[in-house]
Amino acid sequence: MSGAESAGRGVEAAAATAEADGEFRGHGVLRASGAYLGIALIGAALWFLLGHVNAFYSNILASIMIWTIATSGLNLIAGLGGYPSLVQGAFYGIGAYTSSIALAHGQPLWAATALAVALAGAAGLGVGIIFSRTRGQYFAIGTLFFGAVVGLVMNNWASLTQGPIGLSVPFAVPDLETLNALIAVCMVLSLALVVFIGRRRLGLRLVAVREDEDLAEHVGVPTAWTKLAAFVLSACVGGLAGVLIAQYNGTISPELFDYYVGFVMFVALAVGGAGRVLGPLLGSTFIVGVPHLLNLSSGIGQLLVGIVFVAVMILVPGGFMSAVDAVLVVFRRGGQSQ
Amino acid sequence: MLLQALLNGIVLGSMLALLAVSLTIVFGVMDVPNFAQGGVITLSAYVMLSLHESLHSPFWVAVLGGVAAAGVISVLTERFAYRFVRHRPLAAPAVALGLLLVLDNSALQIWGGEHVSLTPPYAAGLLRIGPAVVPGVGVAVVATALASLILLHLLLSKTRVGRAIRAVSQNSEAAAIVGIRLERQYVMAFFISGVLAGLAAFAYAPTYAVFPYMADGILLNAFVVVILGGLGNVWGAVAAGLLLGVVESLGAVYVSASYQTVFGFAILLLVIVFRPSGLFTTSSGRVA
Amino acid sequence: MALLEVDGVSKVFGGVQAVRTMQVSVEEGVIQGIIGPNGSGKTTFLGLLSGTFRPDGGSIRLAGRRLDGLSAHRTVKEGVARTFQTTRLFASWPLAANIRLAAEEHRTGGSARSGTYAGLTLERILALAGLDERGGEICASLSNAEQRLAMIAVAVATRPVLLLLDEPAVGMSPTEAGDLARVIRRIRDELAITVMIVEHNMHFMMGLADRILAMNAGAKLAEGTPAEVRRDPDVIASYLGG
Repeated sequence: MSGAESAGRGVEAAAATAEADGEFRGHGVLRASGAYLGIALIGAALWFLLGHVNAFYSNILASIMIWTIATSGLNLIAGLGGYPSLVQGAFYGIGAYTSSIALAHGQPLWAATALAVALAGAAGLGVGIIFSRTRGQYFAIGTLFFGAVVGLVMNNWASLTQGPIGLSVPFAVPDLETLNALIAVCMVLSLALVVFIGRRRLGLRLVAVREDEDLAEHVGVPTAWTKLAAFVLSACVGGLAGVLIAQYNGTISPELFDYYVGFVMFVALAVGGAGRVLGPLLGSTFIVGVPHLLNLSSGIGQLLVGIVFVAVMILVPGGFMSAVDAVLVVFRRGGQSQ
Repeated sequence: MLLQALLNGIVLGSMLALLAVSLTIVFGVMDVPNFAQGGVITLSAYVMLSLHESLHSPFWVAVLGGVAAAGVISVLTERFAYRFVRHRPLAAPAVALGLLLVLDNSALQIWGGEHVSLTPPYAAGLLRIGPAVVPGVGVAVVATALASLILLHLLLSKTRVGRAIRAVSQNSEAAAIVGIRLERQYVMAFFISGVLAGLAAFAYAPTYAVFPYMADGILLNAFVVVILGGLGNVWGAVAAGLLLGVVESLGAVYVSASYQTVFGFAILLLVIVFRPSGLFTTSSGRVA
Repeated sequence: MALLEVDGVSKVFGGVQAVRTMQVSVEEGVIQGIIGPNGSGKTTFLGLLSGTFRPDGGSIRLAGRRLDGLSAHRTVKEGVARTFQTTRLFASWPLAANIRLAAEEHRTGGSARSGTYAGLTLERILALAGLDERGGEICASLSNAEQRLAMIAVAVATRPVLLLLDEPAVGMSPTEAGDLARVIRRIRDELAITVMIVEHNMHFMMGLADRILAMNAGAKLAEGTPAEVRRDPDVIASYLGG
């Protein structure tokens, strides 16, 4: 990317200034090939863990990884683009239900997945078009409500989805090991997608939209098309995550895809660091991990989770990655000057 | 049938209006809607319940206690949480979620999870209007909303405090430039927002059961109303609340009860597509 | 044929007629000033030309091509760029990144214009705007005058045929305004860009503009050379009477 060298200096400056709300630089912590390699290594390590820890932990880890996929998709429109989409849960749900129903009708896994991703993408296109003139809080609430309606439909359309009882998912992968590998690969791909897009024109345009959409439009960025493309991609990736959770859990029900889920996915992204490649991984680890560690089923557990959320966001409002940034700036200044 | 649906709609609409106004007042103070309001309502209802059932206070004293508690709790959420993420639209939803978990689960811990009911002395009464009937509780909702909003209007338009809050709730930047001391107004705005939420709890609790997650559902509708009315626009919220209440009620009766939310969404869709800043705001957002 | 032909263009905002049927003709290579008291509709008019707003009626033609009704980004692609009354830049980015974004959106450019723009490098843009060596600075840390010039640099990077400046001298000292005037002349002379400037600082305009259009209450009040317009009794009255 031609703006690389000046953007590089911008990272330090940006980290040093108070505006640490996840400024994505296509550079950030790692350089191009380094980023892909790092992501692949993390994926391999997590895959190894998945296969070698006991079932309780591997369940949590798998959830974390699948959530990482969904929130990484969200990272495109909400992180890079700055549009607070609270509807990712709906695409997650559409992916899960579409693939499960297709499998139940005898489709092979690849076809069911393709259909699920396509339908989720189409829904993303629809939502993007409907909310194309909406921004900020209006956009957040509008997407939240759209998610609520999708949840309502899945709950009530019993002939298609079996309603509140839920659906049993035909297991379409040869064995658990293969599923684990699939999850790991998809996680790596979804993180890599953000790196890839961040370095392309679409990523630069999205960041410009996030900084100042009207100004971006006036320097020639086709903002409407840019946002729509990001939305569709986000939805597709969310749908893919849904396919995986359906396979992993074996059953799905509408409450898994409540509008609440979309809200929490956004929170996970913000906690991890919106606009940062690893933000989704850190955020998902926190959001999925902390409740399990604090025993979510009890009221006290939820209370503590609430306190932790509040405390963390107050301490690190830019998300965990901004804390990582701050630490690295100290190291960089201590080491050679760049 | 139509009359009954309309009256039900007005009752629902009054409740939504009250809730929506409580949310819209703090809009200028925060970059995101106050998602934790549900928790404030829940705790307020429980306080009323405790005062009335356990401590045997007279009903109206219990209500007053609950409303006051709501105001205080709302201020606490501002002082201990929201204050630190004021201009952080990415961080605020997480804080709101955390607050909601804390508030709802405090209720769960202190009072347990069963559904209980708050029965006001007028619960058995019925108001007949032609062939339609409004239960005493419903009358109370409309009366509460009416009285509160009139008082609120007087406060906002006739007092200095009120005018400052209006300025802050519409546009905190401009308010700061004019020299209004922000911190105090933020606290006041949250207090009033809490009081209104407490009044909504008083209106809501007898109609529905009291339990730790009681308000989470209706809150979604309240947000739709806030948007329809225009963020920060008090009277817009009132008008939009009544509109939504009536439409949802009519929709539930004439089309399908389970898809009630869909009607609210249909209106929201139309508004967002054609008038993104709400049905009742006149501001034209200038780019340059 | 003039470069810009505006015919019968009008705009209503929330019940107020901000611009009434404006008819304007701007020749290529001219520095055209637009003056008028506050509220006369100058900025709205500029916004109509730049695609920021859609006119309610009338037509806007640039070298014969219709511009009215195009979105802002299409209008920029057609060759019309603008700056803003309140400074707007990607403040947390370095200046060079701002310019590069604008330039990259127009890398292929309009064929008719690429001849003039061959060799329009980052360095040349910075030099034209009087911002040599400032490319690496984060925009937020530039001075006010530098930021106003930076906006112009970014606009020039989109390879426009017509450049619209909205009160470019805001917040500038007389010396800085003088530098600004030199920058505008250089842009016109070296890049053959036609410039339209909205400004209510008459003094600044008098020395710079070739032609001036005076507006009042959304309509054209007077038109001509700076000397003619300055003497026009209606124009004087509009500034004094309000």
